[in-house]
Amino acid sequence: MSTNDELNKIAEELWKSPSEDNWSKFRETVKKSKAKYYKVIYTKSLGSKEDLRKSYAELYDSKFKFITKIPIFKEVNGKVEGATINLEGLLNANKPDEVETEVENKEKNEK
Amino acid sequence: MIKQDLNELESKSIYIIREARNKFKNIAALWSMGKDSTTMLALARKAFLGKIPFPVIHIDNGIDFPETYKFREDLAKKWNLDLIVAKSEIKPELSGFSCCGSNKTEALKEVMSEHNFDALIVSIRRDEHGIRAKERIFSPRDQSFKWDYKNQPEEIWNNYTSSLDKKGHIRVHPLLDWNEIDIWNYIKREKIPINPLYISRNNYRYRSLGCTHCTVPIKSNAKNVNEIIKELETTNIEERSGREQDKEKEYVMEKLRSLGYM
Repeated sequence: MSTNDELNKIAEELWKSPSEDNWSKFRETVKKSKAKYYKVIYTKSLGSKEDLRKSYAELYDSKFKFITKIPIFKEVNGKVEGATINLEGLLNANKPDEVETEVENKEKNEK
Repeated sequence: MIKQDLNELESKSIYIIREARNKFKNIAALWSMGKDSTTMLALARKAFLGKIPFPVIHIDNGIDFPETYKFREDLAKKWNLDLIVAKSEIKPELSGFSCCGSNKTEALKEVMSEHNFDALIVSIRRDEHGIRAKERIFSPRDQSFKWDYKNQPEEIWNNYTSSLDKKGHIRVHPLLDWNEIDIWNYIKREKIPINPLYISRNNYRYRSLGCTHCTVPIKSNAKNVNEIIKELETTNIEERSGREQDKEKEYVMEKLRSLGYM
């Protein structure tokens, strides 16, 4: 199983149960994976737990190819808490759509 | 953007921080890991010869940028900070104007009460937002954190109020007179570490930092502090243009602050 497959698998588990145990597995897996960038997708304001449940992070590799999406919250004893600290080590994608074009252009120019 | 004398600004801020430490029994500082509060910590280190003699509080809503958490851990270790992380839980009954509203203020209330803090150093600047321009350097808050901005003590000849309602607290604002460009010039002069999100990558950078849900990057090619300063010397765009709570109805920031928000 490739590291990205492993990342996809743990992402599925996180969506089913964003427990501390699964987040711990995620931290280990993401280090070994090709994921380099993250982008947080969110509802406009964060006024309720539901808003946090609907938000997620997309993970990309060094060429901005999409790998997977993961939740950004954890559940501890029924409490819902933000969990972006688990993305430590990844870089903010800023504007991946435009960057993707830039990477593609650079590759075309190199050819 | 008007540049001011850094030595004068530094001297006044150090005076304010020392006054606050002297006048209050139990003081703490808020740290968001942004440029302003990190500059304030650098000033506090200078004021007390390298060791900040009060706790530093991060109100953590769990959705800050991962880079921000890393910066927090690294600098807290490097500067030997007495760091208190106050977790703010998302509570539906507290849903406010945004994630910065009641949830963060509630977490701040809890940590202030738990540690009995009577004063809190906050790194706001007058030039950031109209409502912040109304602030005093020593600004009283009542028991429920409310700020009566229509009835504030005068501050003549650097005499600041230290009298407070028994269960209230005083907000101390040592950076009130600084501009954004002063902060960056001081960061450059003092070589203060900065959150990497301020530096351009892929043609974008963050100019004002909040959490992942309320901040967007601006187009910029500034790859170091010198380039950020150059960019600011010519820009006409407002500093907090990438912050959601500032884009909502005009009175939102005023209401947030009057209810205790930073």
